[in-house]
Amino acid sequence: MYQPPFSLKKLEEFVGRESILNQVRGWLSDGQFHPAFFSGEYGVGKTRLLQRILEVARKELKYDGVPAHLIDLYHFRHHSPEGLARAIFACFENSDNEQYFNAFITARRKLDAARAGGDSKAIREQLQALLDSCKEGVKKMSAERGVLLLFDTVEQFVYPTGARFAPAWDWLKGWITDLPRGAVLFAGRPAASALFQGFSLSTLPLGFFTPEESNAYLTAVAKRWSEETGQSVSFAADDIQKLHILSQGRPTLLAIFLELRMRDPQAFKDLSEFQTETFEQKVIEYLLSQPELGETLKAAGRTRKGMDPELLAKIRGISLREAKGALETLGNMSFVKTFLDDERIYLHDDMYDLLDKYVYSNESDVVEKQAAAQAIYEYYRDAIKQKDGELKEIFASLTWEGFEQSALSPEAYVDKIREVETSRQRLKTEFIYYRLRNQVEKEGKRKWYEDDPIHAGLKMYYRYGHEAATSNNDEILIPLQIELTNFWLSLEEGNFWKPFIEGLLLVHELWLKVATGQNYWDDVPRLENNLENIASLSNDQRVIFHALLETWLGTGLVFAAKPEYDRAEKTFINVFDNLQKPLVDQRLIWFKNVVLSLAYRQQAYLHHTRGRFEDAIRGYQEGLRYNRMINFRHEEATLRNDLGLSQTQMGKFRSAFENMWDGLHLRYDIAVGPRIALSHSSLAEHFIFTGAYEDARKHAHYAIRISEIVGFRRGRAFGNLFLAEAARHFALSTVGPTNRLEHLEQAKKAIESAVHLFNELGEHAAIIQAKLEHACLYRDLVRVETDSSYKKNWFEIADKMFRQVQNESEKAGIEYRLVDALCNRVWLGYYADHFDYAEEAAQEFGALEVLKPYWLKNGKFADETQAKRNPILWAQIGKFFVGRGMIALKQWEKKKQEESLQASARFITLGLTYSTAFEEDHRGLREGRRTVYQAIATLDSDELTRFCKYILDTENSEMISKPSVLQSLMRDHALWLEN
Amino acid sequence: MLQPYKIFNSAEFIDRDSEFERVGAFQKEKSRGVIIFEGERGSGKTTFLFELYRRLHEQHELRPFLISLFPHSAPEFASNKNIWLNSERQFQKSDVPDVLNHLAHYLEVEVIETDDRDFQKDYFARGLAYRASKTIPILLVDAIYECPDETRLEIEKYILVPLLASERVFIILSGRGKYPIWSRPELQNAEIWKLEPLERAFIREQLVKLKELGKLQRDLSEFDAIVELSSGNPLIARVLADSKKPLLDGLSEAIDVMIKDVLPSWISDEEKLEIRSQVEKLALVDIPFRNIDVEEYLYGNDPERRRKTDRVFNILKASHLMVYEGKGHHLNQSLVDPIRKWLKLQGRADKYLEQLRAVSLRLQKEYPTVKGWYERMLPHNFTTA
Repeated sequence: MYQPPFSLKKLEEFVGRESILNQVRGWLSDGQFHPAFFSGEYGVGKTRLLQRILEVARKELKYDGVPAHLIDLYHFRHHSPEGLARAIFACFENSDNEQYFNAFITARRKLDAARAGGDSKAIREQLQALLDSCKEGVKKMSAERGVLLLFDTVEQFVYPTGARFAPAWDWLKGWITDLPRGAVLFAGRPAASALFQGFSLSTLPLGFFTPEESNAYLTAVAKRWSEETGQSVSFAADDIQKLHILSQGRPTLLAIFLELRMRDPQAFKDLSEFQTETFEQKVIEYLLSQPELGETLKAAGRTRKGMDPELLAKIRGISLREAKGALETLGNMSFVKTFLDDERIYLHDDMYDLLDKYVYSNESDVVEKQAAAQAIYEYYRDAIKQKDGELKEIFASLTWEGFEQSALSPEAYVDKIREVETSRQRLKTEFIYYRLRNQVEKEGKRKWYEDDPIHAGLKMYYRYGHEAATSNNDEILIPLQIELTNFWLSLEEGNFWKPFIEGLLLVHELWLKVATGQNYWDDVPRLENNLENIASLSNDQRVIFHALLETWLGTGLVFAAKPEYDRAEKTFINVFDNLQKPLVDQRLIWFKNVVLSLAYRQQAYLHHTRGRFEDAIRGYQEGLRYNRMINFRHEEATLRNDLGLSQTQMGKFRSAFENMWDGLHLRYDIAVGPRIALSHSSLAEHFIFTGAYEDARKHAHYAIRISEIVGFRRGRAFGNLFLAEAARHFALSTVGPTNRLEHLEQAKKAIESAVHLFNELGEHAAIIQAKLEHACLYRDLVRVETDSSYKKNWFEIADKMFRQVQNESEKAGIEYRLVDALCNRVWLGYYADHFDYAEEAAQEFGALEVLKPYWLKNGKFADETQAKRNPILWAQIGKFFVGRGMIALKQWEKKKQEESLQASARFITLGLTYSTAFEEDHRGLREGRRTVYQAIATLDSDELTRFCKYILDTENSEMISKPSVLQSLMRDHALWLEN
Repeated sequence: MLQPYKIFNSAEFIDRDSEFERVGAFQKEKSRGVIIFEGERGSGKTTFLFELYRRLHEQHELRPFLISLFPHSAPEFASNKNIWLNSERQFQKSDVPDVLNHLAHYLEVEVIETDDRDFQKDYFARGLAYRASKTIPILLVDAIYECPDETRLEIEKYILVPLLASERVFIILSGRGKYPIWSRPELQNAEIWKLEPLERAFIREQLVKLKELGKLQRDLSEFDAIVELSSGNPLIARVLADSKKPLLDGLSEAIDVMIKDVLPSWISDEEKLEIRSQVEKLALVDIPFRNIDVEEYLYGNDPERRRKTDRVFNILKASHLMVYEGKGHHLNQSLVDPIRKWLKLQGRADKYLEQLRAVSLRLQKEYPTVKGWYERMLPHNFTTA
């Protein structure tokens, strides 16, 4: 509909500021270094000056260190050190100067890979490498060729109250004003001078145009217009004078006016009727009266984070095709900004302010504002969902059959994931900006306070922040922090949420450390101290943040290289105590529930780690109960997965599978690669427990594959651990392969890899688990090995490893691993025919302090209450007794001493009783039953009869309910013979 | 066949004395210049320009030449050589050479016949400069804003620019809507004079005159009603008076002329009908409005209502029937008044008002902070018949 005849955007003709330009010419030629700040109000032409300097440096001076473009600090993504470093590099990418950034390119690639894999340690290292290499690159380039860097809109680095600066400034200020040669030029409003306090840097104030400059500018525009359109234009002298006064010499306003004049020479024909203010208003009204352009501009002014055709289409309710055309028209206007790597349209700050002043502050705007907010909300919600879908598709494709023949190389997967993830992060950060400011309608039941956009925005912020921290995604955390900091500073004193946000920003500091794998728990006392210093923080708010910080303290104590489980336990108990009291302010309920859900989950994890699976299950279930109230899918997925793992350990396989499967699907829906990998490894572990080794191997492979693609070491470690365990069990199972050794060899490779990775990661409990599996592998090699020298060798290694696990578990307070390791030494003795060794281990086992409550006496546990706390130990004792029984049977076979047969019957009766008390059907028990009846089946009738008698004796002496499990087993297999 | 209001008859002309005097004074004070008469739809620009041409034609020292870019007829100028008028079609850029030849002959400029328009233009310009006659050329072009850009550019380049090269020349143009982009400073800095609606007494006088000339079938008793219904708009008055339908239907016809004739050419007839009906509805909205305020009022629950409203707004803006001013959009007052009258008389207002009231109440309820604003949405002091 609307065809712009001429675009001022193309007008790079710069007028005025000649003395500054000459000064810059000198700076770039004298071999010295010159940092400078061009200070000027909105609309004074700062950007144009920088562009002109860039042009002079490039075309006129042919300066070696010239950048490709300005760096506009309007974008918050340039406010993080990393974002800014990437922007600086982009200035020299694909130029002769790229050579100075080779180390940067390497670090960037490694950082991207580490990010994709959520590898916190690598992220931290590579991020530092990236920042250092950027700095060094600029320094070297400056020394050898000179450098020119142009930073625009630098006042954006000074956050609203002027008391805080963008995080990137802390990094940049350390070196940017101290280079050998060239110029670093900052342009911004005078408020930006706060950045440069204490710096030796020239400040050049830029005033508005003088009447002569206005005149020269108008003449230049006319000349350019004439050249471009073939039509001449002139301005009457008094017009120019009036214009100068009306625009107050602001080049930006002058340019907008001119643009209107060129579109419609009759526009503002009689300038005498205007004052500056009415003139501004008329300019806006004129623009808004234009078909297409008017509505597009009105929409663009509401989308300060940029507008693309999809968003415009949503706001205006037009088709995408129409929106593309409309946006193109707007894009040609002089007051529009675009950026190199961003297809979206932004307006000049002046135009945003004018629209605020004359359009959005009217009472007549309320409904339209709300509708636009709704459209923006839906746009971001859908766009993020779409990115989730794209990532889900990629991750799911890694589990498809024929993946190996996939057209994409692993590197291509990394790039693709990185690309989608980056845009998803950008969308989320922008979503927060709008969500905090705009009220939107949501379906469903609502409470009065849920209409408050800040409440809704902070919930969303918490979700994104927590999700990023627990997925080792530091990249989104900094822009999120910047958004919230800016919002916080813009709030009036006395606002209910202002102190709350300050508290949340403290938690954010902790999240950053969580995401980058640093020790965060030692920071908790400091953060709690800072919390006390937040003015106007309500008691409710303080209680919530205190509990949240304490929850993280407890979590840190569990995951630390030297875990402190008891202290962690006390910490969690305190958290629950502190949250007992009902809240005064209903607006905080969501946040209280979020803390409770997290605290229950982390406490449950601690219980799981220590083998207290019943407690863990209860904890996860409580966590899920609170999660229902907060609707936090990321946490729900983890809760379900971990609940499933604990249920697996307890033999509650059906529920376990359902929970883990739901968790897996939730994780696919939210599409975070590392979490999906962990879900697959959890399923692998589950299937090992149920004895479905093929399924276990399949899921272990998925975990490894996804982890490798996204570079997730923890996922690879767990994947390999369970692959090893699945392969080992498969090799030795009834339906197992004939080439057992090959499978054991595969298991060996996998477990070596897992141990190596876990050692690198330093996750104590997992290292113990992996070492135990490693030891079990050697135990099973002893079992199948026929060469005695090898057998001896494997035995020694296994023994050493089991003892190591025993020691480490004892130190760490992980009882069930200690018991498991010791029990396995009994079996090692059995497989190696080393009965003395087995006996020695059995004696040690029997003396274990931790097991005292668990021994059955007269058909009951020694301490029923205690024994019920950790039922996995029943299974371990069962396994121990069966092991002893098998040894006794073997001894009887060798020496035919009746007491051995008697002992064998007693031990096995007890073993199966203990095991079944734990769970009637699980992999360990099934394997145990098979081992037992196969061995018993070799006895002749007479021997069997005696064996059965000894079973009955044991049932009587130990007061085991009849028939015992062993009696039933033998009856089922027609092995029961009674006199 | 042309509608009566497109046929010029000087005998029917009334008023505009002050404008004629102003043109006369301008002519006397200045040796050359450009005047553009701008006015709302139906304000009488064409009639005025034709009458001005007629009067200028009577002055011996002047050489007026009229170009009518849209179909009109003026039987009394049938034998004039100094006019380009076509009752059947719009002026096209291919008509330029023909006009140039006519103009050259009329202005007694020696021209060399050529098919090359650029040469023709140069010869024309040179001829004008060396022209022996002392008479002053005056070119009048009607509806120059409304013609397609390519036609206007052609006229400017081959006719206006060569004319402006001479020392003594006047150009008088008329137009409505968006001022075009001129290349010549004289055109850019033209005198813009507004042609305001006629006072009601003059409208009545014109009707009486037409009646006396036997051109109106309407009874004199209807004239007051016509004057009232026209709200001072001569075009509405004329169409209404000419219409053989009852007054109410005549007013509807006049509103149609006001709206449909100015809609962009790419609008289908069907859509023109829809625009007409939406303009009727919008004419009842008493506050400056945004799209979102009226989308439900215009399109009910149509899921496409926002897009459709957006399109209607674009078309109305492109046709200069609506502008954004102050707190929102406004329909031109020259449309609002007659439409409200028509709706009131026709009885359709009730239905629209009911719909508008429902929207207003919903907005008041949903947005209590601006309840007062939406309370004013319905027309003030508007009572239906």
